[in-house]
Amino acid sequence: MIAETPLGYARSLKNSGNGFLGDIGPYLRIEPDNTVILGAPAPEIGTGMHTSLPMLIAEEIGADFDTVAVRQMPIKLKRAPDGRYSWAYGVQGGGGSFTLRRNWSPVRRLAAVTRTVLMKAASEALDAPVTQLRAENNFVIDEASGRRISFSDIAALASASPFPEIADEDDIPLKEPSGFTLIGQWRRSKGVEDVVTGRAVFGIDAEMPGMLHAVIARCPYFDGDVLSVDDSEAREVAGVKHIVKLDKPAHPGQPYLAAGVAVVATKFWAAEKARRLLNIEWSKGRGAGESSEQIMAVLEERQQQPGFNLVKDGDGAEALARATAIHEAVYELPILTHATMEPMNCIAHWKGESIVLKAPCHNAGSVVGAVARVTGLDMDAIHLESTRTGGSFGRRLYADWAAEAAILSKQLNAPVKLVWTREDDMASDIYRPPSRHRLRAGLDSDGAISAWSHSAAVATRDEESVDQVDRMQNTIWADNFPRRLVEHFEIDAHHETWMTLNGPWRAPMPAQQAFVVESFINELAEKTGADPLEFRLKLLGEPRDLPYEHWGGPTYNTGRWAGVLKKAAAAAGWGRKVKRRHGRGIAGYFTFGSYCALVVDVEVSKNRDIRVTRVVAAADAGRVVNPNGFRAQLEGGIMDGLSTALRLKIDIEDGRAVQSNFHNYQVMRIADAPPVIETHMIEGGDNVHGTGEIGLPPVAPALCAALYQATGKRIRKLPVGDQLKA
Amino acid sequence: MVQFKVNGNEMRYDGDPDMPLLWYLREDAGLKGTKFGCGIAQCGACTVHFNGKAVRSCVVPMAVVDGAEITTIEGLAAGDDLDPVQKAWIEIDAPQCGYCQTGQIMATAALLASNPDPNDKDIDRALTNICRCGAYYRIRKAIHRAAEIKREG
Ligand code: FES
Ligand code: FES
Repeated sequence: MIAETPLGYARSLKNSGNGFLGDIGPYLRIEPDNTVILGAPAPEIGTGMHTSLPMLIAEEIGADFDTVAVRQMPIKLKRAPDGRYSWAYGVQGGGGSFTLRRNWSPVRRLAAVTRTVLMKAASEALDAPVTQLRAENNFVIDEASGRRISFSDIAALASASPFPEIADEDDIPLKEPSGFTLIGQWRRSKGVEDVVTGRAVFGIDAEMPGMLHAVIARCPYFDGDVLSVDDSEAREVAGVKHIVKLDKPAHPGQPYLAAGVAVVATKFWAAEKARRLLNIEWSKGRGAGESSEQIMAVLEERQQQPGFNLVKDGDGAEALARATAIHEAVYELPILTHATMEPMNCIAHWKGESIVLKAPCHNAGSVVGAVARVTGLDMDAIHLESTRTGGSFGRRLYADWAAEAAILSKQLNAPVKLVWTREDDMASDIYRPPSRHRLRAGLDSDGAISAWSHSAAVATRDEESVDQVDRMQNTIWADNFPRRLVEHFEIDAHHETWMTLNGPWRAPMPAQQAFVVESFINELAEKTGADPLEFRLKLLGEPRDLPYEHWGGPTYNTGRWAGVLKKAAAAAGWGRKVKRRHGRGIAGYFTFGSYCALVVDVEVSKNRDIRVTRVVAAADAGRVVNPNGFRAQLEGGIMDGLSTALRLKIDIEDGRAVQSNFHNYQVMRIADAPPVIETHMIEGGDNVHGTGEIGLPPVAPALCAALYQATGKRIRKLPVGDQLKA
Repeated sequence: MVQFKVNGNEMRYDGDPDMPLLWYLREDAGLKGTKFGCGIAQCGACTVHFNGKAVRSCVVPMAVVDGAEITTIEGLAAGDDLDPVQKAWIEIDAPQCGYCQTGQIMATAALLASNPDPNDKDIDRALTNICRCGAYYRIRKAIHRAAEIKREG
């Protein structure tokens, strides 16, 4: 290492008098071979962050993108004298499609600071004024003489002299977007060569010297416990070292840990084999008797009574009484599991006063928090290294798996690698909660919506949370579309507590509301005899900003929403006649700051088998850093939307999950994937946004609209499953 | 004691005959490109070639590998020269999280060995591996491209 620029170095310079090894912010390093290393403040979980962040660096500093490599930054918290914690190296983690947006300015500023330092040193070395210099492909070039000097040579010079005074790094100008030459260009994913050769190291591939392997037989009943264990056969398995009973944690809330029995062995297989030989008697706890069928009935019952008023604009009851026509429909959404391709896993090494962890992360903060809670360590004694991550979809925002590994390592005083099997994953997930929605709209004589009344009911665990709005947060928000587009608008919320754990699942709120609201819009369009596209455009009206006091806000723009609808419709040939038993459906949604609309084409056979033949998408996520990643994320989101809407649900019976692996939780395979996915990009704003979630929400309503056109059957309950055959 | 070859190397094993080949490869042979996704032959993340055929190594007990020639993702390329399937995967930039992709590649390589020019129906039948990230649109493109690269030689 010859030069390292930590972000915020000017500030750390003031604090520590040492500009080169400051401890704030993501870092940039210029290597002796003239390559650049970015210490990435977010893990690669499949959303292309380790490609788009280096693009920002290369653009700003004037480096060849191919020479910018990424290393995952070490993850660490530090404690201030007042006892509060902050990130030792800048905010770490991802989630909410916010990672790129959050890093957009700081990462470019980091490069800009570095560039300023390099320019200054180059100016001395080349004896030319800074204004005459330009950085390109890892060299600084003197425009007048044509002489040039490499970043690495400059860095060597720069590191010999003290870091220049930069009063306020926020004053360093960033490149104007009009001058971008890399941002906005197609770039291949970094690390793809490692993936296709099997060299990429995921958490499950990581090691620590001397580590033992653990699996845990968790209580399959949410809230159940271990009554008795007979481990006599399990202990006979060669390689088994320890069998440890894990008590149900006394603390409520996160990390949610199941009671169970851990088997720790020299190899994964020995541990797994022995686990299958355990004889455990479980108690069922407070979840005994709970089932998904029964909870839907409870939610329906709740909805007969007035609930908690999430929003009330105007006077819905009166408007409904005056309406020319009233339309009502009930929608149901099932429980879903995340089923990340790489199962949960974590290595923990207890060191007495501290702990070292290696794991595939999504949210480092929750790992550190959970481990601190179960070990009693201060957060600054927790050292975490994140590997490449085999998917998250929200699951790895929780860190129960890390807490378990830490508990075992501490108890056994040895490095322990914990791996969950797929059965573990589906039995002990933090699922998407089930919800039921009753919508009622009043239509006036010109077919416009005069009143909108939405009753939303959800069942969650949420023992700690007493706030009613909070309990609804993964299901519905007050500024839900079409609030403020309909004069009389109200949302009535109902909550039921049950023992099935719940948490965010890819595009948590939008993925549910898009199905409900956009399906209902499609029904209302039909009711009024309007084309569903025209009906939406009329509802959205003039382009303007509407308040949106939620994630992705503070506003959304009706014109950008209309823009993606029009684009997708035009590209898909919307309005053209479709063949018999074929269908074409449209839907759009605003997800976490971005707009996406889809047109889905289906063909339904005489036997009522469904084939999705094409999906055309248009999305406006503001400025696009890498169109390749943008498209990949949309494609993946669309596939996930189809996979989920067509077939996926978790049933609960007697307080435990019924589905257990991919044979009965049939994630889509290539045969069911549409052969054509078209993605169109609109750059309607200056902000950057993640696109990992936006493709998914409009899929289910567009799909169901297409199925309706093909068959005349409305699907109001997901998954579609065999409903067409009924 | 079973004797077999992995990527051309002679191997011997005299541990638990029930242990699936997957765990031998990952933990005994240190070949971690072969992944664990389900353990019940559903997802294909653990796909390797067993005497040239694609198999799901999570359900192949060590007892039956005697005399077999196993190829894993680490042995697919001829030295530094990547297999056409790997080249196509890079060109199309198929992976997202990447976890399923070595299995997808091994399944595709086996398909192309028996069917050098698969159409979409052939692909639908042969490729039953799960990609939770839903990279199927590109995987399909990459399979067609791999067939092309292979034909061009
Ligand atoms: S791990 Fe072998 S098929 Fe899934
Ligand atoms: S790329 Fe993530 S599972 Fe296929």
